[in-house]
Amino acid sequence: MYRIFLLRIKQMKKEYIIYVTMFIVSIVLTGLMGGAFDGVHKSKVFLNYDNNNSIQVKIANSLIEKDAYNYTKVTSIEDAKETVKSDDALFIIDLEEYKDIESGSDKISFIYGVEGFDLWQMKMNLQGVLSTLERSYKFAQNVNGIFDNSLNQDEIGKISDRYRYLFENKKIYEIQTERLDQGNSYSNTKHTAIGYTVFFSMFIILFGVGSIVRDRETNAWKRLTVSPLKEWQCIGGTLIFTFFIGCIQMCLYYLSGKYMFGVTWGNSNLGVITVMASYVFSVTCLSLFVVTLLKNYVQLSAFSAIFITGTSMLGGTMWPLEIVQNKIVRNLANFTPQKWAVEGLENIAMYGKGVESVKTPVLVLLLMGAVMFILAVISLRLQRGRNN
Amino acid sequence: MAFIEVRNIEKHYKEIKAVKGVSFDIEKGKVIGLLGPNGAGKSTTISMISTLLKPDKGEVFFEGESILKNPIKIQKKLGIVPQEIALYESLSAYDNLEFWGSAYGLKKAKLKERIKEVAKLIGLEDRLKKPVKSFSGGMKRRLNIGVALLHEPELLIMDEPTVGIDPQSRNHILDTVVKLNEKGMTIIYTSHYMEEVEKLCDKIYIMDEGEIVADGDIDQLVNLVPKNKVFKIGFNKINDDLINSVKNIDGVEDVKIKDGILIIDTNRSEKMINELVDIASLYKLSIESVDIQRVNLETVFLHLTGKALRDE
Amino acid sequence: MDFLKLLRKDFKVFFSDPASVSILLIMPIVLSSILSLALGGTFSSGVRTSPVPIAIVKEYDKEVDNKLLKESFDKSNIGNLEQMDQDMFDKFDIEKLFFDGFLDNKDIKSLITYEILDKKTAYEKLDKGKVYSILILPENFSYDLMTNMMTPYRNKVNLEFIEGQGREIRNTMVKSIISQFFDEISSSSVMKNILIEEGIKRDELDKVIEVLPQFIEEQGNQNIEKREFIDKTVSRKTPITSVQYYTIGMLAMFMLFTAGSHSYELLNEKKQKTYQRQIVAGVKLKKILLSQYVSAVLFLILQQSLLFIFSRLVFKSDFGALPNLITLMIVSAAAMAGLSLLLTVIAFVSENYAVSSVFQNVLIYVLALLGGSYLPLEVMPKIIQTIGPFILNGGIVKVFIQNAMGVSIGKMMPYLISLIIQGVAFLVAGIIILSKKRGVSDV
Repeated sequence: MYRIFLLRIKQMKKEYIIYVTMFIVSIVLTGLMGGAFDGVHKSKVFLNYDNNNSIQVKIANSLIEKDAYNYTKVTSIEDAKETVKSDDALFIIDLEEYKDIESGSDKISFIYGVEGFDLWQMKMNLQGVLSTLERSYKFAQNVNGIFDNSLNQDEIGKISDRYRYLFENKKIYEIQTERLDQGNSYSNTKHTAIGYTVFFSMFIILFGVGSIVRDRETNAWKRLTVSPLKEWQCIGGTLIFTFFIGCIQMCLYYLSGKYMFGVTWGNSNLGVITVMASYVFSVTCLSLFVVTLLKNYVQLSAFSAIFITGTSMLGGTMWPLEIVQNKIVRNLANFTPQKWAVEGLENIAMYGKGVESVKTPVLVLLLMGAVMFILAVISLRLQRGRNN
Repeated sequence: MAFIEVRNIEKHYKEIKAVKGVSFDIEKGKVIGLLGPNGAGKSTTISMISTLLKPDKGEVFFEGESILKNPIKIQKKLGIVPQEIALYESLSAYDNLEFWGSAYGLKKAKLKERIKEVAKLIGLEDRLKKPVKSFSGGMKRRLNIGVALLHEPELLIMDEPTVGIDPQSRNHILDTVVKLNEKGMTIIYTSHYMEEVEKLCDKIYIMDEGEIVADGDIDQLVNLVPKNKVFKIGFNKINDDLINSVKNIDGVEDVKIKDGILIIDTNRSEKMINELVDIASLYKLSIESVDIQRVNLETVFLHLTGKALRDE
Repeated sequence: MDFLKLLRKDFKVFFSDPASVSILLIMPIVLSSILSLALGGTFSSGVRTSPVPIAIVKEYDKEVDNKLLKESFDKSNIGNLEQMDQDMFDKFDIEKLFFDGFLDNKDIKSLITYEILDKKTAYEKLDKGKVYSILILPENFSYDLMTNMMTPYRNKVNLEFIEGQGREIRNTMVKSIISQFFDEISSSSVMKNILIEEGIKRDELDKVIEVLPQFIEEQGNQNIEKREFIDKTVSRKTPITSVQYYTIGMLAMFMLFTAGSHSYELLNEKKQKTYQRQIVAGVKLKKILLSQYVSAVLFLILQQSLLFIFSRLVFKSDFGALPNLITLMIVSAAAMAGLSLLLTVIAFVSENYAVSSVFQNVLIYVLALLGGSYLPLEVMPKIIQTIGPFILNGGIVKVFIQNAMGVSIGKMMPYLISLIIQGVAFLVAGIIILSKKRGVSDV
């Protein structure tokens, strides 16, 4: 087994360019993805309104003040539509038909091409803005009524503005949010960074165990399997080697995240290391099992795509599992190492918990790894039996 | 004008000269043997003849025409049996024959007919639909030959066609070669097995280190070695005194050492053994093995190059 | 040699490895189906369909608060407490308003369900995941809110909201909904204060005080209007769902895999000597490469067709006008096959699989990310948004999405031209590399 480990090291020396490329690319991509959600970037949204209509201007300004998007005023509705079609803007909020406060909300339209969470969120925001605006106007009118309609338009306007100001800034309530476990709140930025760390780390692990497939193609593997070596010894050396490589990758992620991309990994280095190591072990064993079933390099490459992308999607590396509607798919996630790795790392890096919070994820990952290793051994044994 | 004329062809790869100025003629209807150890330049030479490689210098003429200027002429009439199993192993034997036949311009009914004939010739008619990867080594080699025969070539180049196969398949292949030659096919045959070459070839070229070191029929080559006996004696120890003493024996022409064995070229009879025993006693050595050989191609080769034909 | 025979052989050889073929053809379908199940409906509604369970903890005592309120009225000189009959207290009964009037409202109930629990039980249930959050109504909750509604004073109410882990999106929705109730009260309080301000300003405070209770009541009677906006799409068709988007994203990624897989073929032939056999038989390398190229194009079109047909039949996805779709399939396949040929030539000339290997194991994932196969480009950094559509697979994603949105071929021209240029550039690069590295009839 030790010899096989040394063999893999020697093979790695010959293919070192691939390994180095994978290390660098994975880190750069993870950094890029983490940076993609730093809150600085804002998507483009068009607003179509008449500058001479004070209501429309007020609505537009209320939205713009919230500063969640890069708002652009429409100059040509056709051009704006083309921009949306070419995916360079999210949607158009068309206020043109909303002439006054008496107009119904069905006079406001959203023009879009692709459905998305932003659309839903914007509708919620706009509901709030309209509600406040309509209420402020109606209130001002009613106040005028109380004073026997003696107020002029300017005074009515001021009352309306005052209402909106006080309503936005002097609420009579405040909701203080806390987490059950006293931890920090959810951060989409951190989730994405952690998710993509977990995702990209799979490439090199699969490549490492892929050495077995390469051996199969040259029939060197056949020689190994007819030797007196036990099955676990045949794959044990590769397991250790790949685990070693995976851990190096994770160390690089940790260090580059901390010192290059400004990632805070939380208060427990031990917790982070434990989760990362368990994840590498689990994925390595899972990959080992998979490669015992593959015959050649073309199969390995094609299968890697499905394996890496599919399990990563199921495991919640690309989007939070919370948004998955389907119960079966959500339950399937529990069978992916990625889900547990993301959970463990988020507990520490995102929610600020301590090392005890990673107990369950680590145990599950180790158990998964052990089971997969046993399955790999059984798979090999069956193949040996068939060949004999 | 010979069927094939090879004139001073050279081929080098960076600083290595794989073939250095090789020339020979091949008459139509003959079987030519090309002998030599690994790295002698045999494969490179036949690659140049088959148009797979372009010579860096020199020319090859096929029926009087340069194959560099008109490679198509020789390609249409040439069948090649490479040393490797150059087949699509995931496809069936039939698919392979069909594809390669069409590569040589055979179509439709003619192609089908030739596939049938070749399959019978190589003894695979009942395995045509099976994938090649399921074949034994011998069957693969037979199919490898069959593919080269589809278009009824006038010239067949066979590069070590019997390596690694069972004796039955080997004999089948050799018989096939004989039959083909009887029908008028010109064959260039390379091998490590001298008994095959001795059986099949009208003329033999011996190559070593990129050059032809000798050529002729069997008798001519054997006569290159002035001695008709070779003694191979294994001593427990070989020293200079021993060698000098053996050299001084009457009738000994040459003494070489190979793998701890003394190889003695001589025209003496087996009675020389007694003198060798005496020498061994004199130097308190013991004789561990004795092998007396008549001169054959192996001996000729060894004499000419100091190497064995098979695997250095 | 007949070109079609060469092409047929290439196809047969590729299809003779059922495992590889099924991975390239079937797996995009499997993956996009997983996506459909995982994401289906998520982005159209934005919220979960089943109501979110929460716990409410009452730290106040209604009777105590009412007593406090009466005492404060006694101490203040705002109004005469005796004048405020029981009806007033009923009208402004916070519990009635919040629980009966708001949380038990049909529309709210479809989004939130609640239990009133003690703190300990609430925390236990939150820990076990039986409720997703706890809303703690603090001490003097009723008193403070009624003071806001009935008096000129403003008492801030600090609500505590305790969230469980992993329910962030739903809890955000819960907070947003609960805020609506308190916004109403906030609004009433603001109105009241402005009215009093105006009364003082116009020296008509008495008038204001007289009408104040009724006025506030009338404002409070205005129901929260549920607003429906008009949805319009940029094309005549229904908008593209996230399912469709990711189907196209996955397709582009798997086309890259096909390109990579094909690139191994010629070097394989060289290693097994079938390539040399073809050369000796007089088959030109150009023809062999052309056959590799055409077989790659045909396979890519097959791959696209299977995925589109499956998606259409099973998920009723619409990918746009058929003639345009076919055109895009051909152009994208031709461009991708160009890349495949370049990789083929590099492997063939260098006589090793290193470049193909790096492509298959690293570059594909990079390109998939930069081209928008995992996430829409518009959430990526600006530089990626700019170059993404002009990367090969990014361009493929772009044109298929645009076609699904009803964009005309003319309007897609920049991206189409980019695809064509890239395809041609790959082919030219391949030819250049081949001619530089090979002598005539040197294998």
